[in-house]
Amino acid sequence: MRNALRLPLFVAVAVALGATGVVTSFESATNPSRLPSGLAVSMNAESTALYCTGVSAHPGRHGRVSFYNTSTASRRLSVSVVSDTGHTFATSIELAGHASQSIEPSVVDQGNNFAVAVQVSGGGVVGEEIGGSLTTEVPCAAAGVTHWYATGFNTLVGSSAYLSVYNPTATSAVLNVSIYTAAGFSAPQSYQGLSVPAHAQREIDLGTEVVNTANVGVGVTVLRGSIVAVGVQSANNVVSLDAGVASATSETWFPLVTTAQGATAQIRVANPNHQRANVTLDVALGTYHVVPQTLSLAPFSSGLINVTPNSAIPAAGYANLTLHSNVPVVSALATGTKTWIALSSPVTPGNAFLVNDFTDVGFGAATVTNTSSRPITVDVSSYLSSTLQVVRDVGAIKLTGGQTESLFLTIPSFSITPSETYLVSSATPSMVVSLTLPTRPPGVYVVAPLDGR
Amino acid sequence: MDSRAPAVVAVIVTTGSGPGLEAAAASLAAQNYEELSLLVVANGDALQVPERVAAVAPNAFVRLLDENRGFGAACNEAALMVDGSAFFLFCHDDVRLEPDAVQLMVEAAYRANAGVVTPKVVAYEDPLVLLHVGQTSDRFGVVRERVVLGEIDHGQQDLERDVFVAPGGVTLVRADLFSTLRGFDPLITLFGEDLDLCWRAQVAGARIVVAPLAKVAHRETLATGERPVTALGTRRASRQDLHRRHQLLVVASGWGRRTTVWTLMMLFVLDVFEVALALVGRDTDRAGAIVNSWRWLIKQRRRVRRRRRQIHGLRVLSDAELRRLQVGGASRLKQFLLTLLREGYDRARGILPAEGLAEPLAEPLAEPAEAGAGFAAAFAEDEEFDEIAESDLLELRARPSRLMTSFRAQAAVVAVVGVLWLIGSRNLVAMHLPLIGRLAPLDSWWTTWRHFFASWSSNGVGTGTPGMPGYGVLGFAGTFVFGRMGVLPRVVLIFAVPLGAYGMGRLLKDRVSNRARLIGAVAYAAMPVGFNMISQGRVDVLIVVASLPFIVRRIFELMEVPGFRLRPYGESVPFGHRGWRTTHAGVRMELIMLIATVTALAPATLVVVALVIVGVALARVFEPDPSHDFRGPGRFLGSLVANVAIFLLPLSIDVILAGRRALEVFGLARGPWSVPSFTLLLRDADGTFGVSWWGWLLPVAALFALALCRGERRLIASKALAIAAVTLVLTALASRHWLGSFSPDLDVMLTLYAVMLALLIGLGIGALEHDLRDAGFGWRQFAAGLSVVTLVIASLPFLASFASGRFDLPTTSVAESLSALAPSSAGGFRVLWLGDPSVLPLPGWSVAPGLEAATSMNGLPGGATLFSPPDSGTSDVIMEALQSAMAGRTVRLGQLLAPAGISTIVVMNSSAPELAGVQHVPLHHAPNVLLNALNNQSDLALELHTQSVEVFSNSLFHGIVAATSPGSTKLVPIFSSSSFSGALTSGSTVVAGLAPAGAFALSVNGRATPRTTFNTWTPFYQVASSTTPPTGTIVLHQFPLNGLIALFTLGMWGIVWLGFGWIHRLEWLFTGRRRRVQAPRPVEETLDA
Repeated sequence: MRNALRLPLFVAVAVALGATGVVTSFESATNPSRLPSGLAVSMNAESTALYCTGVSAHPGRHGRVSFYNTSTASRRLSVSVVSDTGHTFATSIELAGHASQSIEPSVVDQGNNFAVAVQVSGGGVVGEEIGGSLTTEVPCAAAGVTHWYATGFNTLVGSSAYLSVYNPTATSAVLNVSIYTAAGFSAPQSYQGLSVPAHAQREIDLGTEVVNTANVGVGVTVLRGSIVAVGVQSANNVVSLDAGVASATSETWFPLVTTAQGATAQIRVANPNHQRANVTLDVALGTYHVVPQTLSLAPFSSGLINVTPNSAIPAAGYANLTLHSNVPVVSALATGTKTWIALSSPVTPGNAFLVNDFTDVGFGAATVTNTSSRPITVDVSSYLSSTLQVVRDVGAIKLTGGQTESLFLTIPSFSITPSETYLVSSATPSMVVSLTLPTRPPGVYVVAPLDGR
Repeated sequence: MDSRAPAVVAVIVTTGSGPGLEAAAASLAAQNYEELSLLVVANGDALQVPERVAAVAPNAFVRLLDENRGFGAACNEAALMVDGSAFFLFCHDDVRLEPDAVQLMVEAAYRANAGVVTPKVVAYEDPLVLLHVGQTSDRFGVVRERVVLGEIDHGQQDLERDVFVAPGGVTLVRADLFSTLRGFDPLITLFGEDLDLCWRAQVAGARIVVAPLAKVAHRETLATGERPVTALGTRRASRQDLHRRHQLLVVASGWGRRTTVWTLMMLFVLDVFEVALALVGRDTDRAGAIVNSWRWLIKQRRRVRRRRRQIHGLRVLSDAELRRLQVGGASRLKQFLLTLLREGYDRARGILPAEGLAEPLAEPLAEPAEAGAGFAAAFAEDEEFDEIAESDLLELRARPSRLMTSFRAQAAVVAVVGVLWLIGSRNLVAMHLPLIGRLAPLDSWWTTWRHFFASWSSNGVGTGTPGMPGYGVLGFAGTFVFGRMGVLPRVVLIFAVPLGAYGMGRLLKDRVSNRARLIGAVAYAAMPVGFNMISQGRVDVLIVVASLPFIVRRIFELMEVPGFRLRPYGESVPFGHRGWRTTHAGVRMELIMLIATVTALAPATLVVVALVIVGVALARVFEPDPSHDFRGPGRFLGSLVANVAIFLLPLSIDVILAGRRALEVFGLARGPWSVPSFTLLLRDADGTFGVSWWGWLLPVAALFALALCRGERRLIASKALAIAAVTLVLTALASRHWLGSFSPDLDVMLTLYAVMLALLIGLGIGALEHDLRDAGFGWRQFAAGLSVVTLVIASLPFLASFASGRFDLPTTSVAESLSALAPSSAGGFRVLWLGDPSVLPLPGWSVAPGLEAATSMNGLPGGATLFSPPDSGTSDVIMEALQSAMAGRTVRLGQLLAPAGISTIVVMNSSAPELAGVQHVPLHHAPNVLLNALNNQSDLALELHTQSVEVFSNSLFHGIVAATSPGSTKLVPIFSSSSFSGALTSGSTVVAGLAPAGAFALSVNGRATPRTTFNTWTPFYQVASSTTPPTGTIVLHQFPLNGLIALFTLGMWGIVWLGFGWIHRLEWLFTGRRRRVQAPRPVEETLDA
């Protein structure tokens, strides 16, 4: 064989193998944790579940759970209520299309605190947990988590804080609870290896181990199974529910932070890392130029940045805060007055949020924020509860990178007391909807919007 | 009368004491050549030369020089003194010529039109011992003898022929040539002047011949150190120094510009290697000589340039033509490696010419190998290998260092490897086989046959598809072990790789030597894929490992790959008659049956067959074979596939019924995050073996081998290369799911790759033996050396793998640790196995990339679930439920799986638990999305969580067969796990998790009950109210179509087997008498047979 004939085969093989090697090595395969569809619960689901925990029966702070059917078809809800005393109650609800219904656990079951598990025959049903005399609300969870973080709890005199943990699966959950305070880290013995039986609810009173302490951060690691957790903060009989987050993040948005006179607003941060966290808080407030606020946190500790009152920040309505950190941290917004605080965790950016006035008191403010640096278009639709008509477009908002717009101002039909349910959606998951209840001083009750699914 | 003989002037150069001067002069004076004059040049401090010469040759002229300027300069001086001479005969003063030597040399010069003539040189003391019969040289100026040390002159060298170098002592040079060449180079005082003169003579186009009938005895007093070196400019220089520097001078100026650069670069590398070696051996003289030679060359660079210009002016032969006159390769390196191979490092180190060519007697053991045979000689088997000296070959062949050329040596290697293999597999003989891979315990011989004929199998939620033909193969194989089915997997584990190695030897047969076959076979046995498949319990792939070389060989034969069909096919013989087997149709049918047998056990074999055919066709596009009659690879492949499909009719029907899952018959998609990377694929590694850098050695050796092959071997190698490349590309793409659901079993693909690598290695050894000698020194030599080195090093991990005695097959498995999977409630149950296809202990269906689902009934997998039909049928309900859970569309997976009687879900991340210090098992994680989904189900309870496995129990499990009490909707298990019969409750509703629903009926007290499905896949039976306690049995009511298909398939196999001459042989059964006298066969037929 002449050499001239060898070359093409060698070249062809070398090129083929080289190209294959490069192409296959170019994309590193990872084991996916979620399927590409992304949504936790799709509209065409065969069955879905909603888990709400931390509903109290205490006088003056008793709560309820409300459900809303975003689909046009009716859904059958198998509701199971379990209390801290072990009592259970089961019922079923037929929820018509675009209809909503509430259930008060303290009415149907016995106990002090309750968890509600709802199995839905299909998808598209959302739930909201409302408590504290209609002053706080958090969305119900659709699935358990294996890690859970929250921060900002107070166990000072006159305050109480506890975690309400519900086990949504048939597996007994085992979990460890870690505490981050300004003094550092602790893992109390009594908080290690905690067991929550299948489909049971349990409270973990932070005050029993962390006495008279402000700004307590909590990290929950589930060793076995999964849980749904809600933090319940009570201060001077003002109850707030904190949905917490499943993971720490390096960037967080708080678009509606009050700077009103008489109000208190703090960004409370916990650092669950081995490294020191250097936190920067960018404050956008009207036309004012506010110097970024900074905070340095030792590993496994907590700290806070005062926003209101703060001599560097004028009292000029709602501030739009963006928190940056060199390492992932857990943050929460603590609002209130001089005598009490209410906690709310940041909203994770998504591409669909549902706005429903479950409390029937309306909203003090409602904004939509573009958390990305690129412009997006936000579509706003509404569900007509009176009919089974499908969604009706009511407007579109174009947002530049980092811009925040008021729904009141841009959506003509969006009133302070909306009677309809609104779906705010965008093409990319880089949007946050923020809501506050109408209060005086304004913005002390922050409400988390529902996941639009 | 005036003589017509041309005038010859003999020049004797004498120095110092000149111990043989008188004898030399006397022998010249006694020549029978008439026109011979004698001129003696006394070089420097010669003592009483005129008197000594006069005493024996009174007519001689004597010229006295003031100083010793060396042999060459003295000869030049003598040439200036003479005019009109036709030849010069330059002689040392320690030679003794036979009386007719000059005459014979002159005759030879005229006969061959030679410019330089050299005589046969014998030892001074013993004229029967040969010293020189001319010499050869390599491109680096290393001179090699054409005789071995101490070779006795039997006349075996008495053939007048061309040589490259006329060794000093007695040299006849044509006067005009000498003048043209401007004589000897005065820069070369001693050692190397003969090489230099001859090199330039060759460049100038002159022939140099040896006249072996002219006999001269040479005492070699200078070379042996009998006399000191006293020439000018040689003070402080040893013989080795002089030799090295003059050799370098010749090389630096003797080639054309480009060749010089390339040659000097290679020489520099070799010298660096030699210096390092010398320093290691504390041989500072040699190291110094080499270093000084380069320094000297740099110092003489102007002279070198001048010489180059002079030689360029003389040039008649090109560099390429000059190379053809020389011996190939690097003689010194060859010699070193050869001796290293034969006699160890110390001897090899000594072989490097400590005293150079000028002192051959100082290193007597070096001489035998200085035959110019080259490094490749060690691998040569054919007699024509050494074109330089046949006697060398004879010598080499007689030496035991000719590795593995004798039958005894090869048999010993086979025996050693065999014993090592038995030692390495010692624990496989009796150890408990873990439930991993395809090592599920086989059912009895009878039950295995029943699976083949069965109308229903328990795979998934049950299926009525035809029985997999693999059961038929297993049943047939079980016959040979007298039904002891447990023996079969052990036999495969222990003997598959050796059988495959034997097949590799058969594949290489007639293409390369037995030694190359042996090395190729051992290389195949050493491929990681075999070990990995043993350690993973993949007996299906091991069967491919054992049989693929045989399949490839037959495909190559039928595709007329050069060298694979040495004899024509037999003459056309009717089907069933003797001799049909050797016809083209018979050979093809043999191949089809072999492929069908292996495909029944590992369907991806069919893909591999296609790749072989495509690879051969592809290679022919780039490198067409010289002549072959084969046409239409597509048609060939099509006919193979069609025939195999007929032989595996039940499986073919399953594939047709499978629809979108049809391609999954070849293998299930593994998780891209757990498949081997491309670099691991190149190393043929999918497991614990071959992942270290050692794994590169065999592919690298194959690559080198590929580079060495020429001629027919080259054509075969190009096919192997194309097949290997196509295989790798397809494997890499399939492992990334870029080919859709087509994801052939990765390990079967790697087996083909291993076959091609081993084939290349075998061919490469053949190339070392045959092809390398045609090539000059260059990259091929390096490739050859590296190839051998890598093969040797690659054998080390091969040995290390024998340590465990079971090739790292785990001693326990994850599945077995879950033997207590039975639910607390009574009744039959299923276990749903989930995980990467590479870790599950039973076959199933693909849910998503990296996720296979399979079920076993009433516990662990067994003989009933060895094969899974590609048609998932009703079992899709399980896959759909899992997909719903993973997509977040359900939180009631337990409820969805409960009708199938699934009590437990086992998610496996590895086939066996990791036990530190005992067993290491790679983790192939199941998709995280699956685990997240299972954790979010409201009706599944996590029972066990380890690194290797997660087990969930189904809180809504109600048994495979359950019943509701009258007035209640709660299902409770009924019947036992061992049978589908038992007591029932009057008026109850029975539900059975058995598919297809239409195939089953519930017989209550001997009467069938009405059945409905309520639009589900499960049958519901309403038990009538009665006063007597009802007893029910679920029975299968299905036409035995599967049995008929299996019977038809079996009959077809039998008929075709009879076609291989057995119909002819068994004819007497039908005629009633044995044919005693066989009809005489036509002469032509007999001859063909």
